[in-house]
Amino acid sequence: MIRISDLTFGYTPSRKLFHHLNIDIPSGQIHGLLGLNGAGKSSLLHLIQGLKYPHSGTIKVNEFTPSQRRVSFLQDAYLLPEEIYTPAIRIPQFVKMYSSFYPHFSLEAFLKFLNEFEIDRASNLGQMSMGQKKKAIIAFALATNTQLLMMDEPTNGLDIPSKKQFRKILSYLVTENRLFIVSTHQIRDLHSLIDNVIIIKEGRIVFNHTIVEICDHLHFSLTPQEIDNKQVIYNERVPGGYLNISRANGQPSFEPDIEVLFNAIITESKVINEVFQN
Amino acid sequence: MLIAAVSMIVLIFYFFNSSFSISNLISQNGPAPIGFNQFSTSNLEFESQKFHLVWFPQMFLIVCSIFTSLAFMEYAESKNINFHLPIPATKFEKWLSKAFIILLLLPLGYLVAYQLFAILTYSWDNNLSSEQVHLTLGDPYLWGYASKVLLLQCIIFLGATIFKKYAFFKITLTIFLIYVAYNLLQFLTFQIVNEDLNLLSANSTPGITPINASLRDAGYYISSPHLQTISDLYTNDRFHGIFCVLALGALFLSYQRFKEMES
Repeated sequence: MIRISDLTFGYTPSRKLFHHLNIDIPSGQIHGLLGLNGAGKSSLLHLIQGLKYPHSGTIKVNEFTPSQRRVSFLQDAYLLPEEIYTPAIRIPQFVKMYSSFYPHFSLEAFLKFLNEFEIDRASNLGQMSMGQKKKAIIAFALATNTQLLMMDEPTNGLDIPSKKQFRKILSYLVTENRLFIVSTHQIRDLHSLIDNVIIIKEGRIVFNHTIVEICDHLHFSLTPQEIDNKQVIYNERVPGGYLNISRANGQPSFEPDIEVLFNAIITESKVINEVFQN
Repeated sequence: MLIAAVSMIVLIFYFFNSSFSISNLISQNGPAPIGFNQFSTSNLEFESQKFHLVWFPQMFLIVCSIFTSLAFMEYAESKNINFHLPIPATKFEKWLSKAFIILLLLPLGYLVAYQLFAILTYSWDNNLSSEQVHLTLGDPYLWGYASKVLLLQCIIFLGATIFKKYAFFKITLTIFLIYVAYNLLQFLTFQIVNEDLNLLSANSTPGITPINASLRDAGYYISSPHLQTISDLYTNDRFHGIFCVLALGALFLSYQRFKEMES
């Protein structure tokens, strides 16, 4: 469980990235963290991992304050950054060196994930392509079995079969105690996985609802023509017609299109949130 | 960082002030300069023929210095920092692992490599005696040399925590600049004192002994035997103790600076 209270943070004193930000992120779910470029997604992950310090406010991950970077906290929290750095050593050496820091690390799981990503377990990390390196580090991150796992753009640089494998692996790893946060621009790669959608805009959380809540409150429909209906909150031209978001009003909805929902919130966040408040 | 930088300057200043420099480290304690079998006539305590390959002390110093200056290079780039900072270990454990590898394993590894090389050359050159080839841990020269190298390593280790990018060049430049500044200061001081003494000497009145002559008579001038005494002093145990304290001081400061880097 992550509890962020009254968080203020910025890279320059005059321009704050987050201003009195509050959010509770419960365990047992995969949270999708979305936002425009520069909205502060990576910074928020870094703050939760303790790599950056809040100017004011508090961040609590279970009983820990991440900025103190206690060993017991770091043993149970892993951040997979967007830009991967790995020492130029062979995978077995890497595992030997770094796995001992994570008490719940499973070598068996790691080898299985490597196998699923089709990575040679004896490869040298220094000689691998960025995509291969990313797959190896994703496999390592997943095998650490930390309670908190944050991934910043994990599917960037992955090929299509690997994205599928990643979704498959992630889906069966989530348990009641574990908390996954996936920050991504490529929502279509992960929309089927996400349980909860968190959207950041201009330093504030403008949307934080589960998929179930979205389905309860919003109705997504595809029409060949643009419809003139007061119930339609937002529509967007997509291949095959128009995708409309309207109030649910008890209508059954097909799987929500998170990308369209994201666009709707970025342009009409007030209207969408009113639907949820009602 | 400022405290660490100032402390580094003070340490380097002491380093030169105590007549200990790379050049006299090699010339005073180094091996015989020519040939494998040429024994030195100097009676310095640490004089030894064990390092029979003349390039060894220089190479040892250069290799160790370069590697030591690179000790914290991963803290220069943000993506590397993001990999290292979340590693579940305390700051002290991280720093200690660096110090252990850089200050202990690296020099030991180099000594082992040297010894292997020396044994190989021994097998090629029959003029060498086995005593000249095999290093023994009881050899005082080895420890005398190692303690001085360790002090330099500790100072460079401290420098590596201050300068993250191009650390070796920046540390070398800092040492060089401090060395030049120190020598310049020493030269200017000498010139001023010398001029004053000459002035006093030239303006002396009959019946009054010139001040430089008084000083010389009182023994306040440096002659060759004095230099030898200083050199002998420098090689005794007391100076080893001072080196150890300085090395520990540099290590302590490097840990303080490392804690700042990790914050």
